[in-house]
Amino acid sequence: MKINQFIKGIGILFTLFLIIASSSFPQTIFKTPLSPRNASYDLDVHLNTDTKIIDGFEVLHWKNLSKNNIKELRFHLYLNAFKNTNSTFMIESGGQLRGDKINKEADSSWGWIDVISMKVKNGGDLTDKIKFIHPDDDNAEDRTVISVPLERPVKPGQTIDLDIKFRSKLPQIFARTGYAGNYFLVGQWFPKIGVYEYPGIRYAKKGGWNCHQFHANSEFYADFGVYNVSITLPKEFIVGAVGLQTGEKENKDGTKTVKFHAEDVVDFAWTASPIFKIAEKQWKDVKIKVFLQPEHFAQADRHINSAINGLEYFEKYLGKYPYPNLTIVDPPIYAMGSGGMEYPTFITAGCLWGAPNGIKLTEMVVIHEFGHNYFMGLLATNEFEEAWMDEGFNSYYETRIMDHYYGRKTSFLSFAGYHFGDLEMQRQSYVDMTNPKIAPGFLPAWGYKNGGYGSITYGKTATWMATLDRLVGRKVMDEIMKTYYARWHFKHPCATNFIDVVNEIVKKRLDDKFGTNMNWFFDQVLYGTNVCDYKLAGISVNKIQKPAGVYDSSGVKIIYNDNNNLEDSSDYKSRVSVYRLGEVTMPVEILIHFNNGKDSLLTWDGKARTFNAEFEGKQKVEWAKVDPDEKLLIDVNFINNSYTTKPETTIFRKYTTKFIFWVENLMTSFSMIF
Amino acid sequence: MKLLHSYGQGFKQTFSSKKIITILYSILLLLALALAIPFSKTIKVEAGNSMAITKLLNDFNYTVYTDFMREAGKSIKPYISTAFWVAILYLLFTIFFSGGILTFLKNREADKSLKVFWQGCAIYFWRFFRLALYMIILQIIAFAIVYFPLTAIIASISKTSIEPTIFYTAIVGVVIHLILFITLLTVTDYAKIMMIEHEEYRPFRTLVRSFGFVFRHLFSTIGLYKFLLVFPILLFIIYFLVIDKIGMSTGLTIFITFILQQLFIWLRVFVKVWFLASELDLYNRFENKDEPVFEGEPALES
Repeated sequence: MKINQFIKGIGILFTLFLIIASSSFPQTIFKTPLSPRNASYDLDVHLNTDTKIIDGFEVLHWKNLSKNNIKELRFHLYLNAFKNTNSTFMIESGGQLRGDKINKEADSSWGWIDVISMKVKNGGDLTDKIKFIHPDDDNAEDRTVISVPLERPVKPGQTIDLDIKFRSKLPQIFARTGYAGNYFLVGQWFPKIGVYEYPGIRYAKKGGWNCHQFHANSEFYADFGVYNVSITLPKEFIVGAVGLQTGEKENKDGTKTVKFHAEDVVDFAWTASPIFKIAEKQWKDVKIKVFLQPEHFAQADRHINSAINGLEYFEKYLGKYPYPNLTIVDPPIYAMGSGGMEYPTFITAGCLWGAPNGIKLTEMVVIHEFGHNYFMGLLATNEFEEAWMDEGFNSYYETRIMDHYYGRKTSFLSFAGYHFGDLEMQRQSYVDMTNPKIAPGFLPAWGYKNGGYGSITYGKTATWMATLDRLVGRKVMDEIMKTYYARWHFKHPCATNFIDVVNEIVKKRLDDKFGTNMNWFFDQVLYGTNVCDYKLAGISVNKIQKPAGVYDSSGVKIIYNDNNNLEDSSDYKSRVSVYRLGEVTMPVEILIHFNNGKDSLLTWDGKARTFNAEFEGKQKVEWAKVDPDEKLLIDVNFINNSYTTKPETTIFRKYTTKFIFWVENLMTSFSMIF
Repeated sequence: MKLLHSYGQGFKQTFSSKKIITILYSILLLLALALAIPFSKTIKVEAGNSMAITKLLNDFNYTVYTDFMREAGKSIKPYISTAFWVAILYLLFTIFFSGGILTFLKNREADKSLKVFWQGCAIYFWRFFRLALYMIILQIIAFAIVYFPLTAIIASISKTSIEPTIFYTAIVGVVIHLILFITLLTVTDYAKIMMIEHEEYRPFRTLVRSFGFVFRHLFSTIGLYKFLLVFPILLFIIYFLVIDKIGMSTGLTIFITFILQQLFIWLRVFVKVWFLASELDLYNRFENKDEPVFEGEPALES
């Protein structure tokens, strides 16, 4: 009896132990790691919601995947970009970004991060060795990058564990991160190790740190890892974050501790507010959770449905979303600076109370930010140096998804008789630039000294991606992108990696249709700044004249004059002229329509300055179009792409009538004043 | 009720003033055509022989519209700015015609000739011009006293407030401004009537007296103005509903739309005169209780 009771007691104790133990250890999401997981973090942090300060303890597990002995580590301290007006970020941005301006008068506006101590686990103290560096410019006041020399190098394949104590002060919402009232969006908030690139990664010919300062236009770049994060804050706050919530415990001091676990991700961000209202939906094996402001709760379905559209589309045309969850945060209107941002499995959107369904801003933002899970999340490109690879590619997919689900001409706006689609809008953002030649797409984010970053990285890239899509055909384009994704997800691809895939697939499927490779395309649209503009310059149609004068025929001279002439031919000579006004050359089609109803489709390599096509016969050319299917979306002017010998006048009557009415209404409205 | 009576009488008088309305409408149309004819030529030249522009015939096309405006904007935008100047010119015409309209309406002669109208225009123009200047200044002041504090309030609350709060705050401001705007318009109309009825030469003094009159008979004066607004609001709604069904994609539908649009404009001018006629009637009902207001009308009982 006593033995039985003893065994029973041991069993109970063991069960209790298992229960306690399982709540401390994070669950495993993926049986097999999907990524190298060479930069993993355990974070235990406390947020003081009054002072907006986070006190944190970080354990970094960093593995050296290179063949070099690494003698120093480099970290990003992104929050120091908001420390004062002398940071590189502040100088470049002029103190404003994404519609927010830093309030220089309020002490609480600023943000910063201090590394209080850094020690190698079971090793030396590195704190005093930390020094600020500025690899991109001469700004000694910039504190967004630190270099930490090591006492002992990290050997190839070895992992170093660092205990880092830090303190972060969140800024008032500015440039994606911070607080506004009781709302917190905490991004780029902990000491984050840079990426050590070595041969095989991007352009590296030898090993070296890729750890840029935080610039006004730049975003981020990091390695994959596992995150275990424990957040302690006042218990009334509702918390959402990257990854899965694995625990929540109330503490005696009126706080609670919430735990999160994420695997194979490049970043960790989180949000907290006491007033979030949550909507949830399960789509296949992905749990979608939306943290909404109460006044926006009526738009929960718009968020969820657009997320599902994104999940569905990407699964079909690029690759399956590998994570089990997606969190969407809806910021309050006074914190919109934190909206429209992406982190792995966690995005911030933004909507307006009462926004009509015909204005698809919410859908566009959700789909765009979700898409970043692929472009920068899974295909972890360097957003500092090649922003076009995430923003541009993602914008291209955004246009595809929006136009697919909401209509090519209505996907962004359909309201009061006016409408336009997402792809239309992206193209306009490029072709409407005052100077579309201002900079190439292939440029570091801080290289856009005279502006153009947004239009070039987003709009121009999306436009030339869509042009490539139409040139090679959707089927080939999908194969290109699926191959690129399959080969490079959970890695750090660069431009040449993508171009290599394009060349491979185009050659395989289309042979030499576009030459031996597609480098000519990228040389112009990505590396170059020239514009594309083809013009259907004119059509001339003339009756073929009877001959006149002296002609030799079998040694005999024949004179043609009015007495012995043949009748005028009833044939016509039509000539169609096409000009290349821009410096970009693209293969182009020319559609010619004759008065007998027949069409002729010609192809031209688009290289010479002019192209002429002549036709003789009874038929006359009536109209012609260069690039009739609008494959060359990169063409900056579609108005000059066609020419007709019989211009339609009804359209002018329509707009003249509208103009008369508009002017009359303007006059009668003014007359109301008296 | 005086208000309703004046509403009806105003309509009758306006209806019998169709000649005047047609003159005003014709000037409107001529001014619009003066801009529209060169505008039409410009867009034809800019479009050239392009076929792209025809995509705008059946429906709005964002790509074609924006590409066209980017290429032709420099030629077209001056028409927009000129239209605003033409509108200001028409405002001057309105000031000019107001004297004639009121003189014409006031005239108790059976034969209401246009000579009376033109004489009234000339006689009262300078006085009405000064009155208009005072009124514009008052409207600017009303705008400023509402929107400057409103903007400051919204700027301060937007740092912590949600959209409904900002929206309703803005709505309150807009409603207050609307009330002030309508009150000032009403005061202006009665000032014009007083100047003609009493041959006043001092617009500012008349304006002050007009304020007094309006506030003494607030319900009737403002009430009549709001009641008169119902018809133009309905007109707008009906117009948009009808036009939406017709479209403008063929020569015939463009012509039908043009006719309907011109009818709409003619009615807007009609409404403008209707306002003055109704207010004139109401004023006389309050001020001239022992005299018939219009020929054929019984005298009011005191």
